[in-house]
Amino acid sequence: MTYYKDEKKRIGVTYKLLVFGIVFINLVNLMSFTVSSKINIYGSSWSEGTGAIPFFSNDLLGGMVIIFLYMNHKLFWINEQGEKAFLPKKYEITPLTLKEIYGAKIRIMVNAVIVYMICSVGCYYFVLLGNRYPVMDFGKNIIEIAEAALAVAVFALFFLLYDFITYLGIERAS
Amino acid sequence: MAAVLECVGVEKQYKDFALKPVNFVLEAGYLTGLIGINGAGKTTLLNILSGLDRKFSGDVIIGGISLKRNPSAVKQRVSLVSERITFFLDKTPLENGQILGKYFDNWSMEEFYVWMDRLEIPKGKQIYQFSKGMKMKFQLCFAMAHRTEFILMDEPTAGFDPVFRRDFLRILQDIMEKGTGILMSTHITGDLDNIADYILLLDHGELKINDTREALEDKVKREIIQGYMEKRLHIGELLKRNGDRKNDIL
Repeated sequence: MTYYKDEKKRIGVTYKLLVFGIVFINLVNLMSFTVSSKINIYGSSWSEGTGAIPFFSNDLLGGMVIIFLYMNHKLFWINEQGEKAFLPKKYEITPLTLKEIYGAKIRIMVNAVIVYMICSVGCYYFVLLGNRYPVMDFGKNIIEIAEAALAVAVFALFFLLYDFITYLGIERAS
Repeated sequence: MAAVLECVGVEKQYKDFALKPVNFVLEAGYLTGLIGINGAGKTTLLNILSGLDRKFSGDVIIGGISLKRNPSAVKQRVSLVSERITFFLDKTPLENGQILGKYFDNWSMEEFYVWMDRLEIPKGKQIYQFSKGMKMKFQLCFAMAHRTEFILMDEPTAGFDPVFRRDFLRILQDIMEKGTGILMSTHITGDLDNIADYILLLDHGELKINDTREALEDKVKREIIQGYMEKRLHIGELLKRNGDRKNDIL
């Protein structure tokens, strides 16, 4: 518990600013896309069955990757004398176990992504319902949210595996 | 009652090297010299005893606590002083103490200050600016600040000049007076002449000698140790020579 709190304190609030910054940019993009799509729907070019705005967009995915890259760097690496140093190695002399160290870092990383996902879902419905967007498919949205959650899990697993392999490599080298 | 560190059948297998089952007991308040040539298995053994290397057979027991079952509790009571330990290089000793010390139950910032003053560690200088000797002394301060029961030292005097080496050995005596046990690996047997209480000799991953310091004073045993250290003589030859001498005396 102490290590979790210490880690949160160490990485500061920058990651929160990053998450909300990305959410804001996505919100602006979604807003402009919604307005232009609405114009199309009410224009002559619109045909039945088109015009649904996807939740799981490139913007959402891009934001997710940026957050993971940033959090991974911030939680597992530090710059020391111009070189990247693996942070968990610095704690190897302490009684902290690898489980405690990794557990705290995963918790912080997952928390940040969950906040991002909740904000993204909130923004999506805020923009679409606020604009009274005529083409909405709630069933499809649920599937997309599940897909996004799966993407989060895959990314998290990928980065943690990468860090763990790096750690093993460093251990072997030393 | 003084704490005891028991090494029970500790062994480890690498592709090209094996640490054969090692058994010995260390007592707090005494210095044990771990000698052997490079590649004898000293660092491997120290990494296991300190809890850094967890893939090994056998067990290490400190005050009834098993390293296998409770590595965190053992790390509270054992410290490794080694070049391999990195700490936060861009931070000062004080910052390192504040960041890492809090995870030890018995950590005392006061004690940390006292030892840093005693060993003349510049508190405001970043660790990367420290010389090798200074880093070793800093690690000793860190270990003493969490009131460790055993300090394991991996070649601490290698590369020191003779004056500094003498000072360092005096510091070790101070530490032992506090009731802390020391296991110090070295390939310079001269370091152990005056301060070691016990001697362990590793050769090719095998514990060949587990004896008192007097072994260094005994001419025959000293020759055997020198033989291992210099790799000029084989144990068989030395035993034979020892036997021949006894026959001569008889």
